[in-house]
Amino acid sequence: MEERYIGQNCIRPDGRDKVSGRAKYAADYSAEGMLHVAVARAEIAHGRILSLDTSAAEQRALVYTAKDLANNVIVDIINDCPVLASEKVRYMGEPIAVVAAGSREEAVAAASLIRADYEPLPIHLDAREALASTSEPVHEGGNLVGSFEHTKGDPDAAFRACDLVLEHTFTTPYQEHAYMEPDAGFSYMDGDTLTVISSSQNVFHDQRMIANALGIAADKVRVISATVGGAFGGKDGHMTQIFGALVTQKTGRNAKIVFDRQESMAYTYKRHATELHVKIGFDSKGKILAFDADNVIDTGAYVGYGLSVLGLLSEHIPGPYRIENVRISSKLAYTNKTPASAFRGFGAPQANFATESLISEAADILGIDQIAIRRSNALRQGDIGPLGQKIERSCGLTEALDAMERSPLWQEGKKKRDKNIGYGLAAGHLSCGFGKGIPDSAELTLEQREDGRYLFRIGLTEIGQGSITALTAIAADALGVAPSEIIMEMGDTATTFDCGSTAASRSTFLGGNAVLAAVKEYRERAGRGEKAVKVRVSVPFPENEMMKTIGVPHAMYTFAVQLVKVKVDPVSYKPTVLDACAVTEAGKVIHPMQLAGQVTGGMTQSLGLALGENCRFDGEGRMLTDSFSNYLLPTFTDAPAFTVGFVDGYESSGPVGVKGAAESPTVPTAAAVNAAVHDAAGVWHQTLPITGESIFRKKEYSR
Amino acid sequence: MNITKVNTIEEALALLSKGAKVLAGGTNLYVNFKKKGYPEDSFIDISGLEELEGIRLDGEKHIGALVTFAELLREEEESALCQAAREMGSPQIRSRATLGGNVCDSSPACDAGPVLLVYEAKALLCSADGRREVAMTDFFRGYRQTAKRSDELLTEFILPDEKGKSVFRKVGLRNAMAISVVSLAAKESGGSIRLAMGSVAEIPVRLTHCEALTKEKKIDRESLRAALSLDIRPISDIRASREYRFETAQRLLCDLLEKEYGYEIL
Repeated sequence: MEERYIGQNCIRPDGRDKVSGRAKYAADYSAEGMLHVAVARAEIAHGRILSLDTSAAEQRALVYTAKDLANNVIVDIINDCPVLASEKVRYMGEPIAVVAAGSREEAVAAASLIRADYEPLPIHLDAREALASTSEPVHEGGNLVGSFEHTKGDPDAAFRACDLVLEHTFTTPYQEHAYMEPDAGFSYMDGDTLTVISSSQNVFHDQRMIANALGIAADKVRVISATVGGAFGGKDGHMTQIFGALVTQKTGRNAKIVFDRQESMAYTYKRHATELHVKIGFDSKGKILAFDADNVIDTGAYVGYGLSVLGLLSEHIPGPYRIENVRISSKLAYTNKTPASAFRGFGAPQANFATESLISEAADILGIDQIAIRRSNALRQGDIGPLGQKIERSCGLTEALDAMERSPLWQEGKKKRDKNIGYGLAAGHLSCGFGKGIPDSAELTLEQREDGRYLFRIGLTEIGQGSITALTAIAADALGVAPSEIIMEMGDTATTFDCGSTAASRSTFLGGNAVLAAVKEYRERAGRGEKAVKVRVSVPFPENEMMKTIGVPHAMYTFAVQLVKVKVDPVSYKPTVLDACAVTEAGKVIHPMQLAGQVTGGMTQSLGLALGENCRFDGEGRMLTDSFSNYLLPTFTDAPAFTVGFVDGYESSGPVGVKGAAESPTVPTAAAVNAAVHDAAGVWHQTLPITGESIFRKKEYSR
Repeated sequence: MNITKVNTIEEALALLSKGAKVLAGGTNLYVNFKKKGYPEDSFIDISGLEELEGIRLDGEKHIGALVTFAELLREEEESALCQAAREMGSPQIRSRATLGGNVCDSSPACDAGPVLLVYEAKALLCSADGRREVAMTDFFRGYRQTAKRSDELLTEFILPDEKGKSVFRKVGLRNAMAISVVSLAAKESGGSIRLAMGSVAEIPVRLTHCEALTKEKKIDRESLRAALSLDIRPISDIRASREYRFETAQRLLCDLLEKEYGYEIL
């Protein structure tokens, strides 16, 4: 196959519509006479609902409660979450009723008239306390949702033989996805099919959730992904879909639901908060001999993808290193906070902050170069990983470290300089795919249209990440045509097949393999003289032999090494990131510009986590940081200059050598910042975010 | 809520005396409306009042209440006022937000407050009864309270035409779109330095005790600290704790006096 578009920066097929304002996001769909939908929400964080008075609201609007649903549950991995709370509320802002009226203002006003009487219950806000508490748990079965235990070798004996053992308890806060487009949906009846246009990264899951909750057959529900303005994991679950669909089901009318920013920030999924007690033992040369982690993960009031985060955090916490003696114990806990679920990196950024910070501290104590200590422990292809998994796929961590060592920023950091400026490095990895035991395949059709263009239909969604560009480039080269001859139709339950969620850094890998398989079959059949060939293929994600728990460990990882240069202001101690260098090994790079965008975007997202983002709750469970004026995202003036490099890798199981890369840039950033702040200010942090005030406190207390 | 666009000051004053409120750039008001709902109040949109625009020199400097932060940044020479404008909000906000609005909103964190205090500026207040000048040191009265009566319109600020280097510094939680944790303005005057801070009390405050120490070029660090503790009353809030505010204020003050005005803090 001649690569004319792969490896080049081809133009995004969706780019022109986006920059010209023609692209239609879910909130852009409207119809004459449509209903506007608002959600009435719980005003306490934990309590039994004694009564629900909707009479005043019903004078002014249509009101639906739990009794209007065929099945009051959001079908998911664990069915712990009702669509509308009816017996008990478990977080402040939990939906209790859906209201529809002729305008958004009327719907919101009517929703505010709904009154619930509660029997208040003690509120659980801290995950570790929730696990130990004897007061009424968040859910009947107790506050422990799930746990992960793993031991390899003999950690106790190994720790005794170490020259240096370091341990700390690390904590990381809830983080907001802050996608540019708040959650939205538009629903209508198309004949007897209830159709929902949604801002979603998983249309087939939406279809199942809606069909089950409303008690209608799945084939009478169609979900179409609108242009999605960012998701980062936060649109993989229920936000608005069932609410709008319920109104259309009951009225037969068009319904529009758009969350405002406050609703999106306070009440939709977040990144899990964690408390990670990590202990690492080294020999005098920096070799890691033993590793122990005791983790508590806060999933809030409902589990969402919390069990997957539990698994991935546990899998990634030992880092991409060869370690013989490993013990990992993790617990996932319910609390009375906004539910946490999928967020780019799935627990790995939190885990990496703990482990990489300890490795940097150890190298500092042992007087070993930060790259050298990581290189000497780095996993290589063929090694056995910390969970006992064989590293069968491409493993370019060493090459990424080598490339970083050659970078101008690393060389600059080696020469001494302004005492208020520090350099910090961290390495990390992130798995690709769902992992063994979870159905993970993509199904795709290919046909040639009458106008000669090739139509691919695939159930993955384009959420801004650019998989449509990558898949188009692969298809164009496979068919030997220009990208303009390719139509990539995605994310519509009526016209595409279920390919699972657009998550887990799997779309380009799996979709790319499906495109190649389809073109191969198309060519063979067309070559035999078959007319009007229509191909339908399904390809699986390669998995390893081992299964520790559902989805863990994975067969394949992408690797990231990052270096940041931070200035700590001598007056206010405020840290500012001045410069950053990132090297990624993700197999072959299909679109360097787009991947560089993923890297700088992912790093900026984690610079936010490192340096200021922090969802805070008051003692009653009310989220205090529910607007962009008090939840501080980094602005452009806070983001550094980035230098982005890639290892020239090749993964033989991937399409043209590709691995997934969308999440990996978020992983090592916070630890790199921590190390840079230490280099500049002489203090190590164990808690995120790192701020002028936290550095001030560390320095005051260390005196 | 209803908004009336006024074309003359007289029209504005007539409506103000009937209880209307003032809308200038709207960068605070609209955020509040969105958060707290649209009020029943009547507003006058003063953005068409040409008399409130522009910067004029006649021995004193007259800065119209509708002068935006973007204009200050464009037209003022390097000075505390210009530096405060640069640190304020974002380009979008600076091109709408007005100096008069920033001051009348009277947030303890308002960026213009400390600057106008060290300039010893006066605010010109007009009402149907006439006009009066109020010194900025008397303008801020208490948390979100000012000397301006509800029937008065702030039309301009009058700044004495004085030589002397002026400086503004701000500590925020990020580099743009940040409400200050501590801000500090300074202006050289005669043999000493006028000083004022924001976000360290319920109103922007002059540091009169600290100023008294700047008559000598060598200042004892502990004395400065003691003076500062008489001048400011920081609190803990969502952005910073009281301790961090006080320590940062003190370090900021020492750093500024040393670096900008050549003091020795011993």
